[in-house]
Amino acid sequence: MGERALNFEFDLNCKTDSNRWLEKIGTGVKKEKVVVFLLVVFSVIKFSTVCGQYSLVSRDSSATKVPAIFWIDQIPSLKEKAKKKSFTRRLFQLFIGKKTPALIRPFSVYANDKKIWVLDQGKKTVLRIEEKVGKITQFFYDGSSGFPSLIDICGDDEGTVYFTDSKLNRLFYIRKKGKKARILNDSLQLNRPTGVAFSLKNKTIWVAETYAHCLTVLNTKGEVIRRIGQRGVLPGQFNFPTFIWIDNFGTIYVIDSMNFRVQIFDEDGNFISTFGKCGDAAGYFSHPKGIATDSRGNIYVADARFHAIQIFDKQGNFLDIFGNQGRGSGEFWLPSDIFIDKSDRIYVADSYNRRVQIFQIYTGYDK
Amino acid sequence: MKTKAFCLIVWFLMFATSLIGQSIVNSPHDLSTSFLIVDSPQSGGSTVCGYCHTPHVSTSMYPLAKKFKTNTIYPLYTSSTIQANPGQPSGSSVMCLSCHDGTVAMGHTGMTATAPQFPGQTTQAGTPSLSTDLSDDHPISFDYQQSANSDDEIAASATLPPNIWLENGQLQCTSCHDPHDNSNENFLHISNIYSQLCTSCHNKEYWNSSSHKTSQANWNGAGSDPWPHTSYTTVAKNGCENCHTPHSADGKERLLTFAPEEESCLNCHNGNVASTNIRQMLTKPYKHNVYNYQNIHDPNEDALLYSQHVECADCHNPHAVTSTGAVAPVANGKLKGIKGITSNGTPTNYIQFQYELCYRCHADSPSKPGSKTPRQIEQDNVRLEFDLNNPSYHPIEGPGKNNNVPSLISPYTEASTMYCTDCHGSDGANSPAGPHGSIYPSLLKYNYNKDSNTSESYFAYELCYQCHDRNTILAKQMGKGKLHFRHVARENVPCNTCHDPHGISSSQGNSVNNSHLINFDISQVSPDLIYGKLEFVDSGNFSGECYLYCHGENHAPKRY
Repeated sequence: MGERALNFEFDLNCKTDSNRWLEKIGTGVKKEKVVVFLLVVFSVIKFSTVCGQYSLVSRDSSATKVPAIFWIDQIPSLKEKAKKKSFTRRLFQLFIGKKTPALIRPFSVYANDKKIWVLDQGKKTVLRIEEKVGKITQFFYDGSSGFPSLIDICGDDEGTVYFTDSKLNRLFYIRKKGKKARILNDSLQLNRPTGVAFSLKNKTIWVAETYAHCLTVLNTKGEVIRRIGQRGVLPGQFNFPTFIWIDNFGTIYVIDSMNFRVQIFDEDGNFISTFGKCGDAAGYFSHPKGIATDSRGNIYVADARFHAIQIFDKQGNFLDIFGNQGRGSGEFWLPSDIFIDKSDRIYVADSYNRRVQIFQIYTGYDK
Repeated sequence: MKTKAFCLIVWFLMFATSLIGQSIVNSPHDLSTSFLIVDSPQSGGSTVCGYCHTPHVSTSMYPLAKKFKTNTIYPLYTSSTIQANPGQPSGSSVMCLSCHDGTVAMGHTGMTATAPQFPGQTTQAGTPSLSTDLSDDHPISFDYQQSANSDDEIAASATLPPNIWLENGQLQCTSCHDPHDNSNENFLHISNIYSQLCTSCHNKEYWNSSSHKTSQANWNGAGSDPWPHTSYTTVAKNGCENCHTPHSADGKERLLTFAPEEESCLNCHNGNVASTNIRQMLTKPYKHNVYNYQNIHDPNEDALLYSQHVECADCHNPHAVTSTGAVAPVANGKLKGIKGITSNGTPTNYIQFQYELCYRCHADSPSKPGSKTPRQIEQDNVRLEFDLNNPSYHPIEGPGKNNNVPSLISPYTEASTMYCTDCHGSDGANSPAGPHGSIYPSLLKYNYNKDSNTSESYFAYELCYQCHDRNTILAKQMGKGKLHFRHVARENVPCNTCHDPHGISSSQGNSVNNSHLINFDISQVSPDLIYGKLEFVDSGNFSGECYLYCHGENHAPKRY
């Protein structure tokens, strides 16, 4: 399958520090004894610091396991899978053409029920890709014209997907077997809607209204239940909130983009916690985009300017980062949205590489 | 003393406001939550700067998942060591596009899917560059000088004004935009009024004298706004932006404001900005139907047209057009800077005579439309029909063969020349010049009846009577008019039955049988019943003989 581990660099260079200390002490008759003693001391110190670090994690028993990320696949596929292609299928392809979706600027991705949904800002369409059957359906605005500014897509448990267009200021939906994208509630005008997520817990749609600096909670008819937050830097306030994620427990994770932080709310919209700071180094945020959580509650945040995905635990402790700027597998060029499905598969809309990359999280690795 | 202090305060206030006016503070790029300049703890305590200029932290957070510490600092401002592919933003443009993606700021700052293509380096002859480039924005992140080398119409990087700057030789967002200063609209380095910004890089040939650069015409407010993306009110002020828009262009490939491409022309040339209403002309039944073809015309296509199409830009160069007049056969300013085929069949990039433009499609082009009347001598190539060596022709390329044409109405003489558009053009007295659309077949300016048994009237042959005096032609008493009277007025034979209005090619006809544009319409005239000949024989001044059979009348021959 061509899997490739992206983290786990076992760099065992701890001895170099010790040697440097030895040089400073100087050499004597009892050199060997000193060496042995110092090595023991240093090893103990090193071990204790490592333990100290992980003790932070180990308070939460689930977090002792650290995610390992493997690259699996991408859309469009790197190579057409030649195997198991029936004659009729090949004949079909000969006349109809290959059904590999060419993406131009995939901005958001959502996967459910063996279907992958991609919002393509370049094509200005919503694509539904059923890879198993090789079927791609494109959805247009108003039947034929393009969506000017597609941002984010989410889905409910009945197979309906909801997505936002920040220029039309509308929320759209497509039913499970729907053939058209429809506006959710004609009278609903939002102020730059961007992130959207569906709460399975209380069947509500949460939309980030970036220019209103608030979260808007809607019922499935698109009626506003309430709005949460206002512009500001305090907890529960927002400065250009963008992407949202809601986990299976109804916990809401919001990218508060221009406050360079993630804010976490409970299912009723009560503020729980926040983490994140602006900075140009790993663990900080420069331009955070999509957010998602895996089955164990770790938080994944795509950062467009790091061209990387950062992983945090529930408390906001920085766990890991993967990816860098580039075109290879596991590399990104301005990644935007990220989605994690039930089987811990990560889908990253790698916008300027014109593809969606798919990774698998393995969690069986104990530290 | 008091006045001095007052002046000082006033000066200081003016200075301060001007400073604020030019700064990022309170501009749309000021993303801070407070109106006052305060340190925002979130943006790294660096006030308005930190939203884009992510503050530097000396050490990264140590990833708990990794066994040993690695310090990962991201180089956010230097250009990346890896080379961006065409279509991928590099350098500081990454910074812009990480917000301008439709979330925090409006997006549509897209990328070309392929390398930007420039005239001279692109498509092969005859193959229009069908758009694989789906971007609707001006390309960025490409080597500027490299494109300037391959395109004469791009200024060399050394000659660029100082406020257009390239980042490591590459054109980036910041080449046009100064994100810190919104004193010119849209954070531009220099205002684009009169297209100052565009023309810093783009030296379009002929542009400086073009009507689209100089015209002071305004939009009269009727219909749709021809300039939806600018606030400028005249054609001259809009300049390039009359037709083009640098971002989110509907007509993607050439960044035209409207798609389909003719809309870019017709949104002004509908009487609302330009005085003439070309849009109305194109509603008529016979027209150069620009609606039928989309994105087919390519500025780099051959002068000789291989695939039949017609777009506004096939006949008009919008960068070059002027209102300069001309005398036939010289092309006027409306046709300036256009390709064509000369009278000897060689392609030219800049036509001198109007007919050279028509010859692009109606002469040697393999997909030219055929002639409408079936004739004894068939010829679809109008260049051969108007050749000066022909036995007879209408005087398009030069004065005609016949130096005794008494019917000509002054100021026309036997030495006159004419335009194709004197016959082929929009009908109606006040219609704009040029063959845009007409109610008469063959896109004729006036009615021209070709059916047999047409009872003669001024209207029936209105086209001919514009230059040839009806009374002279139909005069009964004079020998020279008698036969015309007999055929046209009494026997109801249309002009077109005997005369081929374009001309007869010297390769097919001769000066005995085909002088005076004689080339019979074989749907109406057939060979005579005795000799089996269909022939006109010229026997000199106002005399000749005809062999033919026509509606029961056998000439075998008839002499005059």
